[in-house]
Amino acid sequence: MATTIESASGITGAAVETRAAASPAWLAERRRAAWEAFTALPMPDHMHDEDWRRTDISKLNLADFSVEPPPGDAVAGDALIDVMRTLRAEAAPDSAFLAITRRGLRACDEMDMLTAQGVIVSTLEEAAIQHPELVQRAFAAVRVGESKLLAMWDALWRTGVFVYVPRSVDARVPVWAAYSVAGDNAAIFPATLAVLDDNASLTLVDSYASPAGDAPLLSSAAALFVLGDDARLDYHNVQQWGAGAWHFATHRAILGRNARLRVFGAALGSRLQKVYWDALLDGDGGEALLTGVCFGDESQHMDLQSLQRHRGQSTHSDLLHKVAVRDRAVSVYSGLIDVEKQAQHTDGYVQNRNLMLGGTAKASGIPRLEIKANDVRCSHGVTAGHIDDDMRFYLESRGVRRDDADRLIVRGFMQDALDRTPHPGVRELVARLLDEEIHGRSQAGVEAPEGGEL
Amino acid sequence: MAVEAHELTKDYKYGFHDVDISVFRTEKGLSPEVVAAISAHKNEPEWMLKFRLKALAHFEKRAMPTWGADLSGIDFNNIYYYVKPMEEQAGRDWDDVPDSIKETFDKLGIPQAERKFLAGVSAQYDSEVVYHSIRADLEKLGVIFGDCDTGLRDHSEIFRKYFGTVIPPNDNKFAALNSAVWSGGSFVYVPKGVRVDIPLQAYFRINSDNMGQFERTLIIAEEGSYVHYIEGCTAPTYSSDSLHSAVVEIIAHKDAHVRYTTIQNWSNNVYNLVTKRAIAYEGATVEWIDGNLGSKVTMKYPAIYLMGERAHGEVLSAAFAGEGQHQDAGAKCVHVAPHTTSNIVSRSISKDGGRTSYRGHIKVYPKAHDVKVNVRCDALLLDEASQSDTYPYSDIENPDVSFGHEATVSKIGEDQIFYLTSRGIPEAEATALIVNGFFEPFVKELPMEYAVELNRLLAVQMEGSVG
Amino acid sequence: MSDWITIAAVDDIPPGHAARVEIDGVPIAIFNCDGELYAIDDTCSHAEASLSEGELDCDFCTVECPLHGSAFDLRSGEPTALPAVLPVRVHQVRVEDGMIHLQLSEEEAA
Repeated sequence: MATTIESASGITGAAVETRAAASPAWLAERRRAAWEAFTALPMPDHMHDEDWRRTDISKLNLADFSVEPPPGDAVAGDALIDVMRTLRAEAAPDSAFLAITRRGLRACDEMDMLTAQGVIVSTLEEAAIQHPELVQRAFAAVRVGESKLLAMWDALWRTGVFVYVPRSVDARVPVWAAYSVAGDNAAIFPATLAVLDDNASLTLVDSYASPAGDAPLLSSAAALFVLGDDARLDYHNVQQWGAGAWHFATHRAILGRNARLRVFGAALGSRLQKVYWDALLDGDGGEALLTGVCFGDESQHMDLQSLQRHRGQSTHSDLLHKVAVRDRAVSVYSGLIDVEKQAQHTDGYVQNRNLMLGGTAKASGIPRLEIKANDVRCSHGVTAGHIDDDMRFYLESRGVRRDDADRLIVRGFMQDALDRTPHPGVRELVARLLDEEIHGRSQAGVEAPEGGEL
Repeated sequence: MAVEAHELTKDYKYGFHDVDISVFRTEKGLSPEVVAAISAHKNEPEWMLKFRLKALAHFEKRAMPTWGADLSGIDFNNIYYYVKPMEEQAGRDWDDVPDSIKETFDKLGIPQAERKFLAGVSAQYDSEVVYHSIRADLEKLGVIFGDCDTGLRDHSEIFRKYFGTVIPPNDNKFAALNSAVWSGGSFVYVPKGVRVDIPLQAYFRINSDNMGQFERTLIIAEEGSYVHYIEGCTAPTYSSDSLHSAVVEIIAHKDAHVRYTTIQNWSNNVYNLVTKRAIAYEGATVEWIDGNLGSKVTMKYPAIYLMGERAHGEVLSAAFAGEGQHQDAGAKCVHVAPHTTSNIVSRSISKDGGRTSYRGHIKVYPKAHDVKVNVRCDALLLDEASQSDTYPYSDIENPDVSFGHEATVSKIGEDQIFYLTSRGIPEAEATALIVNGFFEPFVKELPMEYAVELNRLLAVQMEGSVG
Repeated sequence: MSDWITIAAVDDIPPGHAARVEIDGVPIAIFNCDGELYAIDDTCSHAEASLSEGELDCDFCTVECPLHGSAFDLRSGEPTALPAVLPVRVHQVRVEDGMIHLQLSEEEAA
């Protein structure tokens, strides 16, 4: 039998071993178990997996991607990090900033305010060594091997961000984690985990970006949060991968008693994305408010799947997902509000609104309810429609040109979702990015000077 | 390039001469012999025998659905697929009929003769007189209203033209089963421009042969015609058969209007798995009025394919799930042509641990522009033990649409109850009133005698609902 | 006009048989009905199923999709029963020198 030496730069067991070697024992074991599960599981298949019926990834070949950038100039590519820094400065200049690429942590600024409060902010790999019990609490949100793509993340993430906020501490500034990648066929595994103790609060931003263009890119990301009783987390996710990116992500939170979670996700880039938002309202009185804005054009395929699971009593969840699609773009939304038998006095809501802007764009909406408690109020709605002719006429009759009228209307359509963005700076940033998308002034990804593999 | 070819044509070797009819008629279980015996007994043409045998092959090959209600209780080998032996046909003793059923008959005011039939005590219901007088009127108009066996025999050309074109035998496992062993059911043909003013009721032609497990109904409405067909009844209907798998196909030609009303109240041992589908051509309207009150499990999703411009589809669905029941119902509207519209309203109630599920699919094909669709589902849970689910799928593939779907699940509002009890109405009655109001959009579409019966039935069901 | 592509030898697809080939990533099904060859898109217009796995009826010149039973006319590509509502493309086939040649339809694939 011929032995082939596996490259440690591809999605391979050798790459897992490299990471395991640099991990504490418990994490190395977890990585290896995840890799085993990954190799045993088949790729999701639109012909056989109901979840993937409307999202076809048969053209994705994992063997094409490199988890390590080619050896060489580490400085080149800093231009992209500067772009990330500028975005953060625009939206949240006071935030603690971590910049992560395939090469690891590239910047770590403004931590002092938080460390002074006793907040732990570090790379995930460092925290795994220094604070294993805390990190394990967050990892417990994912069962090893629960899905192929999540198992890939579990085995291969290299650099991530970990935040721990102690009891009753209001983190004074946000934490901004910027994940960026440059170069062809890159694979990156953003990993942001946070544990909030009782009555703690935190604002967190994950931003993902790669240069505008068609460079193939694979992102398999996870953001995992555990909220103690009365804890409050505002999580923002701004996705600006280039037009050649395949993006898979799981954002999951477990809420204690009276905890409050607000999530805001802006999906602007990528070639194809499938993102899961899971909120488990475990303790009584928890609240989860989830908001998404999604703009698809060209041939983008944007798939969001959500789960609002009500386990405690008197919990409240509310999801609003606003989508605008044009050209040949496709949007898929599939959600489930699951109210367990004992979860009385649940309020659960889902709204998915799709604005179809023409071309051969498509939208599928599948909001589902499984209700086993009776003293509840649950509802959902899906709409799909084109631009209202009356509204268009109203604006045109006031001298607004057709194109501008349409853009105003799309922007107006997104406004109520934007209004739900917890952090005002992020709201303004996303509003600006959306405007540029709507006007066709920007492509997927960010404008960055050429050069460098990150 | 090298290609690998494989054989696709299949040869169904069975012919009538291979079968000993008397032996297989009264055995349980399914086999090509049983299917051939059915066909031989009915003196069917060769094409129908082939159709049945092909369907049987599909049924055997196909896996059980992995979604929907729990069907693990069905024992396919323990079923008579055609005629039962005389001992089974005699039915049960009136003394064996549960008291609760007898009480319901009392409260609904069901005539004595009907009671015995509905309770499975008598195999005949003498509705022949009513049926014959209606038939004369219909014949004058050129309307055909008979059973499918007769349709196949006496109107073979038109029957063959449409049979199996809306629901082909391999559409799903239970359509395949029905296609193999179908018997009874109605054949309705309405000629061009004819309006049938009286509703055609399947009840008119009932006897145990026709009100079967594997009914097959085919309704053809020619250009500009109108017909309303009603099947079922609100009274609890006992069936010794545990599996009912019916198929209903409707073709509504240009500007035709077909309304199909079903009220189903099968006994709690029945698995009721039905495939119902209609095609609406240019300017046509099809309405499904679907009431599910009985059975242990019902899986049924009336569908309308809007194939011609300006076609319109309506589905009005009401479901009631009590102890041990799962009503898994819904609707499907497929917009193939532009300028089409559809409207779906679903109301369901679960109590005593019952479970209602709404399962729907709206599809708008890429060439279907200027389409309007509205779906509204509301579910009430009357107690802690009950469950309600909503699984709406929508695939919108043309940007020029106006589509909306909304669903709610809740219990009866306390303020509503309070309003009524504070006016001296006992809580049980108040709940019953509210339940009546909740089903009102459905009940008001029924012919009066059905509406009256249904309201009475709901009142009976709601007794003892406040615990 | 698209080019004629040589697919296989005539003997590779005997009567009553079907084969599936991929041209430019698009799967095409080829059927032999009593000596006559027909070629249509392999993917059913209703759902993801392969028509070359279906059931061929040479009396009616149709193939039935194995997934939900819609039959397609091999000459026109039109479905003869629901649930399929859209036709599949029909491609030109000819036999020359004992070889089967195929010309892809000008229409865009669904």
